[in-house]
Amino acid sequence: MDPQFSFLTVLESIDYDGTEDAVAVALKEKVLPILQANATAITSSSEGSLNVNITGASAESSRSGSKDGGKEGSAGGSRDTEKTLLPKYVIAKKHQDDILTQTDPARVSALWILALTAKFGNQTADISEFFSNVNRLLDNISGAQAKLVPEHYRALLYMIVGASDAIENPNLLLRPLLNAALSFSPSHDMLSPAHALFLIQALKAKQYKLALQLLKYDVDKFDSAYGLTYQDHLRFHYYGAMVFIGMKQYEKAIEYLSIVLCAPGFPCSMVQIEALKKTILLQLILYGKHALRLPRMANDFTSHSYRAFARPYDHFAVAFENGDPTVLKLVWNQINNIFSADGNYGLALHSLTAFRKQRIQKLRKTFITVPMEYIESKDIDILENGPSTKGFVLAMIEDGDLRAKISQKSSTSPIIVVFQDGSVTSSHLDELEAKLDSVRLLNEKIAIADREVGQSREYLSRKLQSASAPGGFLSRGGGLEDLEGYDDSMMEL
Amino acid sequence: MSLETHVNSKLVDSLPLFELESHIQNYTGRNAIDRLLFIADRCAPLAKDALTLAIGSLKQTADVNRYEDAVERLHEIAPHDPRATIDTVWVDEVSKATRSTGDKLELELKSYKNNLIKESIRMGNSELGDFYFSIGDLSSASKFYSRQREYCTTHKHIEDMSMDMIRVAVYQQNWSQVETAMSRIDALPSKNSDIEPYLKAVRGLWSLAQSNFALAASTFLNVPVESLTHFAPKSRQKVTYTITEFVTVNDVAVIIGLCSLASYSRNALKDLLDNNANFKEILESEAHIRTLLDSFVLFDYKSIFSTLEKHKTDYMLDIWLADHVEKMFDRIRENCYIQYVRGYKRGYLDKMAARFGVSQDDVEKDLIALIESDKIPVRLDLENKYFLFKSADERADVYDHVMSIANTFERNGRLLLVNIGVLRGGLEINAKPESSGFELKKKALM
Repeated sequence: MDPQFSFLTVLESIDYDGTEDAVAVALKEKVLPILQANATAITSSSEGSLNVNITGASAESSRSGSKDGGKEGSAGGSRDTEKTLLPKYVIAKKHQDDILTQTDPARVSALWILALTAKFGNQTADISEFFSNVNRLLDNISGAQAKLVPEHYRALLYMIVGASDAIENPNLLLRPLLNAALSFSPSHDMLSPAHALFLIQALKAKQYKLALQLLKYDVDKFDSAYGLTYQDHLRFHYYGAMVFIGMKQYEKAIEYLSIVLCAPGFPCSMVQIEALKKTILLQLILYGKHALRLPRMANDFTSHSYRAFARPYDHFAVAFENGDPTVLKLVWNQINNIFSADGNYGLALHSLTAFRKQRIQKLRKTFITVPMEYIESKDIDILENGPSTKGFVLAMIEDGDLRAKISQKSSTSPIIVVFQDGSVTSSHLDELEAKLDSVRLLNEKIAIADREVGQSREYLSRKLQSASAPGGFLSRGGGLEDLEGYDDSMMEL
Repeated sequence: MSLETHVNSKLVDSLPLFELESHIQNYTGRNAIDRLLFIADRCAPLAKDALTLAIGSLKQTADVNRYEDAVERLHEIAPHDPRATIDTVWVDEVSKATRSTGDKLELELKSYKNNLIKESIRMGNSELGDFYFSIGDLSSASKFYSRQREYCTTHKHIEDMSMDMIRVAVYQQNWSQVETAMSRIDALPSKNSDIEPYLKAVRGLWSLAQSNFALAASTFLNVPVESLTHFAPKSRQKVTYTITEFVTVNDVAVIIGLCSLASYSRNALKDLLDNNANFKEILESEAHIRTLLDSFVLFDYKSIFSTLEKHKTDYMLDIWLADHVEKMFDRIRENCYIQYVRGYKRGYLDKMAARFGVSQDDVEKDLIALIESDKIPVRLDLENKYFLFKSADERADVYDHVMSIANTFERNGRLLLVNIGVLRGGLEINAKPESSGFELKKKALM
C-alpha cells in the first residue's frame, strides 16, 4: 500500500468534531505509529535537523534521543519509552509539504509541529515561509496535541525565538507565542514551554501590557513530562516579575520573585540570586525596609547562599533603612556600578526617589501642618538632579502619594503643607470584599491540591510504609497492587 | 564624637555645692580614696585639695603604687607643695613589710597545699586575696579569692567567697564578674539574709552602670534605709560588707530621685512619694531631691530644670552618677514632655515653652525628636503652633489589619500551591552534574 495514501486516509478518518483531547488520543493511536514506522529511514537526517542551536533544552532532547536509539523497536504503551522515541517521529520529506499545504493546523497541530521542525530545522531554510507557517500554526494550535510531541514543540519554540532574534524583531511572533502559551491548557494555569519564551520576547519588545494577558493567569500546574525543567519555572516567574516591574506593579513583582526564591530543591540557582537582588530593591521601594523576610518556605541552604551573593544589596538596604541621606549617598557612590552591572540600575534609581518620598511621607506622622520651608530643610535629593522640594511635594500630592493640600494665606506668606486624614471609604470596603473573595477561592484550590496530594502514589506509598511498621495491619505492597504504575498525571493526557 | 571630646565633656570646671573635706568624710577606705582621685581627675579647681586629701589617706594604707601616682599628679599641678615629694622612707618601710607578709602567706599556702588540707588551702587563698586587696592589687586579689572555689566545702564558704569577689569586682566596676558571683549566691539553697540589702544595692549600681534607670530606681527602693545608715552586721572579723562602703544614704536618695524622674510616670512617682515609707525615710537626707519630685508631681517643670542645673556639678563628681548625668537629664526632660503632653487634647507651644522655661523653638525641636522616635503620640501644627493628641482611627486600623492578614494568607497560599505543583511536576531544582543550578548565566537571563 502506498504509505502516503494510507497516511492521509488515516488523517481524514479521524473525527475532528470531538473534544480536543479525543482528537489528540486518536492522533496518538492512529497517526503517530505510521510516522514511527516510516521514521527509521530518515533517522540520520532527523538527528541533524533537530539540533537547533539555541540552548541546552533542545540539545538535551537530541542527546537523549541518540542515547536511547537502540530501544527503538520496543515501542510500548508506557510513557517513558514513548518519550524517548518521540524525536524519531520525523516526517519524511514528501509528507512535510502535504501536511503544511493540505491540512488544517488547528486539527493536526502535532503533525504541523513535527513537519515544521523537520522542514525548517536547518539553517538554510526560507525564513519568511517559516514565519508564515508558524503564524498559522500558533494562531490555531491545540494544546492537547502539542503535549503529544513535547520535545518537538519545545524545539520549534526555540527555533521561533532564534529566528526572531536573528532578524532582531521580537515583536514579530509575539502574539502567536502568547496564543501558544495560553492554549496549552484550557484553564491557562499550566506552565508550557512557551511561557518563559513569550515573556522574554515581550520584555525585549517592551510589550508589557501584552505580557499581562498571560500573567493575569496564575500558574500552579507543572509537569516535567512536557519537556519542562526547573529553569522554565524559575525563568517564567522571574521574567513575569520583570514585566510587573515594567508596569510598576511592585507588589505583584515581589510575589512572583518570592515564588522564585522559594522554589524547592537544591542548590540555589543564579536566577534565584538575581531574584533576591530585585526583591531587596523592591521591598525598599514599597516598604522602606528590607528585613530579608524570605518566606518560610525558602530553605536554609538557599537563603544562606543568597546572602553571600547579594551582599552589596544588603549594605544598600541597611543604609536605606537607617534613613540618613548622607550615608545612603556614600553607599550609593560605592556600589551604583554594581547595580548597573546587574541590570538593576533603573530599579535602584527608583528606590532613591522612593527614599525621598518616604522621608516626606513620614512627616505626616509628626505634623498636621508644616511649612514648606521645614520640608526643604529636611529634604535631600541624593542624586541632585530631581525636581526641587516644592515641585517634588506637589508631584507627590498630584500622584496621590501624599494626602495633603498646599495652603498659603497670602501671596507673601509662607507656603504651608496641610496633611489630611484618610478614612475608610466605600471603595476600601469593596477592595476588602474582593480580597476576601480571592482568599476564599485560593482556599478552595489549596483544599483540592491537598486532596490530590493525599491521593498521589508517592504519598500513599509513604503512608503505606509507615502503616507496615510493626503493629500496622497492612503489609508492604499488600492491597495496593492495583496502583502500581499508576501516575495521576497520565490522566491529563 | 572623638574620644577626647568625649572625655572633655565629662570634665567640670565649676565648684560643686558640697565642701570637699566634709563631703569625703561620709566615705571610708578605698571608696573615699577612689572618690578623691576621681574628683581630682574631673574637676581642676578641686584637684589640688582632692589629691592632698588622697595622699593623706593613702599613707594610712599599704597601697604604695597609688600613693606614688597621687604624689606625681600633685607634683604636676603644685610642684612646690611639701606633700608633692615622695616619702621614700615610708615607701621603703611599707614595701618591705608587704613583701615579707606576702612571702610569708605564699609560703604558708604552699605548705597547706603539700598537706592537702582543703580548709587550710581555702583560708590561705582567702588571706592572700585580702592581702592583695589591702595593698591595692585588685586583680591579684580577685584571682586568689576565686581560687578558693574548689576548696569550698560548705554553702557558707561559697557565700563568703562570692561576697569577696563581688566587693572587688564592684571596685573594679567589672560587672560581668559581679553577675557571675551573684548567680552563684542565688544558686545556693539558703543564704544569709543579712547580705540581701548589700546585694540589692550592688545590683542597683550595676543597673545604673547599664543606664537602666527604671531598674536602678526600683532596685534601690528595695534597699532598707537601716542598712544605709547603720553598718551591717559583721559577717567575718576582718571585713564588713556594708553598702556604705560604696554609697551613702544621700547618694541613694539622689540615684533613686534622678532615676525615677527619668523613667517613672507622674502617677507612679506620686504613689511612691505617698506610700513608700522606706523611700520617704531615704529622702529625708536629701531635701533637694524631695523638692524635685514634688515639682514633677505638681507639673512645675521649670523649677525641675533649674534645680537639676544647680546640682549638676555635684552629680558630675559622683563616681557612680558621673557618666550618666547627660543621658539622665535628657531622659528627665523627655519624661517631663511626655507627662505634660499626656494631659492635653490640644496644647499650644508658647504655653508649653513658658512652662518649661525654654524657647518655643527648643520645644518644637524636642517635640519633633520625641514624635519621630515614637515616644509621644501627638502631631504638630507648625502653622498655628499647637500640638494635637493622635486619636486612633480604629476603623482604619481594623481595615489595615484585615487587609494585611488577607494579603499574607494569599501570598503564602499561592506559594504553597505553586510549590506543590512544582514538586508534583518534578520541577524542583536539582544539581545534576550536566546541568547544575548555576549554569544559568547572566547572558541567558537578560
